[in-house]
Amino acid sequence: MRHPWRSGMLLLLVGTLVFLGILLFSGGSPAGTPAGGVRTREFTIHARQFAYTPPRIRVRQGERVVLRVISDDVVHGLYVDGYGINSKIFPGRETVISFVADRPGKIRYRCSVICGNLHPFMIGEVVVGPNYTLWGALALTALAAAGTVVVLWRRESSAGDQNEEGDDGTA
Amino acid sequence: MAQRSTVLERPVPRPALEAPWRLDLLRFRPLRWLVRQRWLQFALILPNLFIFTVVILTGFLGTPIGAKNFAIIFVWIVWWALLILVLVPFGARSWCTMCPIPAVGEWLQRRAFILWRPRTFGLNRKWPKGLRNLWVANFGFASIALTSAVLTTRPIVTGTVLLGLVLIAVATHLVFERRTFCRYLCPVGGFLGLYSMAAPVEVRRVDAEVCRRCQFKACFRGSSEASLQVGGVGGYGCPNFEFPGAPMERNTYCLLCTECIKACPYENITIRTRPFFQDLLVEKGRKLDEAYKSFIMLGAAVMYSIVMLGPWGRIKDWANFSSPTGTLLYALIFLGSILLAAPAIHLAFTWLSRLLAGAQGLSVKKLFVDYAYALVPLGLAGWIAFSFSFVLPNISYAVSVLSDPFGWGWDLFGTKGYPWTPYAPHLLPYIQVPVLLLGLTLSIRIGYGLARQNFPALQQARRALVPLSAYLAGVTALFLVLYLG
Repeated sequence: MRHPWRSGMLLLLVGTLVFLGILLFSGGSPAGTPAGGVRTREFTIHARQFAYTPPRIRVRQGERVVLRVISDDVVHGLYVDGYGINSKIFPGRETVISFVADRPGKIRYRCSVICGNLHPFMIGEVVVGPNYTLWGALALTALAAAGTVVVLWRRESSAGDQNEEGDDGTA
Repeated sequence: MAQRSTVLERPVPRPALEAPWRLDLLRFRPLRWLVRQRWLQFALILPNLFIFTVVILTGFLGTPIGAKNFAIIFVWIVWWALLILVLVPFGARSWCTMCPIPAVGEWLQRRAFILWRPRTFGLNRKWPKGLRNLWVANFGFASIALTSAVLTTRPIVTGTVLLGLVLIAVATHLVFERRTFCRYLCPVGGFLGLYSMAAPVEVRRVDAEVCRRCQFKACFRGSSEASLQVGGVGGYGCPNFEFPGAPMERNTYCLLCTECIKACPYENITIRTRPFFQDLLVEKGRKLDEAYKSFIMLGAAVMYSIVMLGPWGRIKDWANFSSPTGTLLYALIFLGSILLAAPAIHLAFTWLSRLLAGAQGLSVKKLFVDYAYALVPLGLAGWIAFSFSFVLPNISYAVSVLSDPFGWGWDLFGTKGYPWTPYAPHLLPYIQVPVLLLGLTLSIRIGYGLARQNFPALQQARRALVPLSAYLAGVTALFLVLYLG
């Protein structure tokens, strides 16, 4: 007979794989693209040690994001995770960076020019909505928690009904 | 087990394998030979001592730019990645086996690098009874954690702290017995001990009857002339005050130094593989100081995810000690979160769990401490998820720093010009989500085991699990919101 715990783990594994699959293939089909083409959203970003301002911007999936970036102190950089974009940002000079936010979820961009001690942690965020990545992960968390509880209960039922007294409680 | 004759057999016969994951590693002769060599630990420490020396030198003399300094990159990215992603989850406290920090003190205390000597050097005092716990290490870790934004990015601070730890270790070895430093003071050892309970490897006795009848207790006291006449290669009593023959049931304080294996005249101590997270359900030894370590670690993983991985510049300024007000505010928030808020939330859910179980007679304190061990898988998963977030984008600095450790323009291996290359940072969710979900399910599983130990009736344990699971799911959701939201 198949053990309930194994069934639960299998269920969780399948759920995780489905989630990761959705994540992987969710790009390339922009939702809400206007009939006239890709909608453009422009933002002015100020870079200074060790943050970008505003720290987080929100766009819709499929929109073209244009970042006009100016450094307020030293030379910084801007590397967009997953998009292969890497530019230098000079003080007082605007650098324009553009990409289509074709994947839902959080896109981090980070400083690519060593600018001081906290340089590795100089990070900005573009949140592409609807954030299916987060909602999917949260749903999976609820499913994993509830599923684990049910599996543990069922396991105890099948193993402990006959001899509840003898159960030592180990997982 | 059949009663043996009065003369104990040696080596003790190894029992057959109980299960595929319960492998007695010392059944393999080459490994058994290796761990009985006195030079083994020295050989493991030596390369790390060399790297450590370079870390101290580059910390003090190298460039102040962290990303170009060997001390920062090799301690906080390379070593940290190895520690949290490999050594702790799979090798328990194997780092302690090869750690160079207490080495100098221990060599002085033993008056030897390799050899076993029955007499040691120093005052050999006993550590005060009231401090024989993890509280000093807990507060030491919390203090160091508070400064982490500075510590992990400024070479001089890293060099100073590491050198300071060596000096404290040397002084402790000269005044107190054995590795008092590692057991009660080391801020790293405390959390390694907690998370080593997860590892699928353990040092344990083979046959309880042999230990019961053993008159030497060399695993704890160290070898003696009499014990050596029976067997053993000459070993010190457990440096970390454990008594493997007593028995030792958890990995928490085992440094994997193999002295007990060397000392045992009956070859009755072995290294075994086992299922993950097994020690968390061992009732013996659970204490409030260890529980607090669990809150501190989980709380720190959450706080670091906000401070270091978040986009908020003001918080980074506070953590970087840019202004006195910001520093004070950050200290209050950081320490308040890990020392007060995390335990308070844990207490609230513990109380709720007991309420739902309908077991008003059960001590909340006992349940509070016990449930803290359910946080270990999720805490470790949180640290793994957090570590991937800065290791993958920044590990490429190691390639160039290797050629130019001081940042002086050297090019020792021709890799100085290697560019900063973030490795697959956009794939982080694919790693973080499964890791956190695995941590969550394992935590709930351990939590159920803990509930079964505390509540006599099955129905009570079932009801008690509901708030505990909701709490663990909430912590997981918090990590996910920080990483993906």
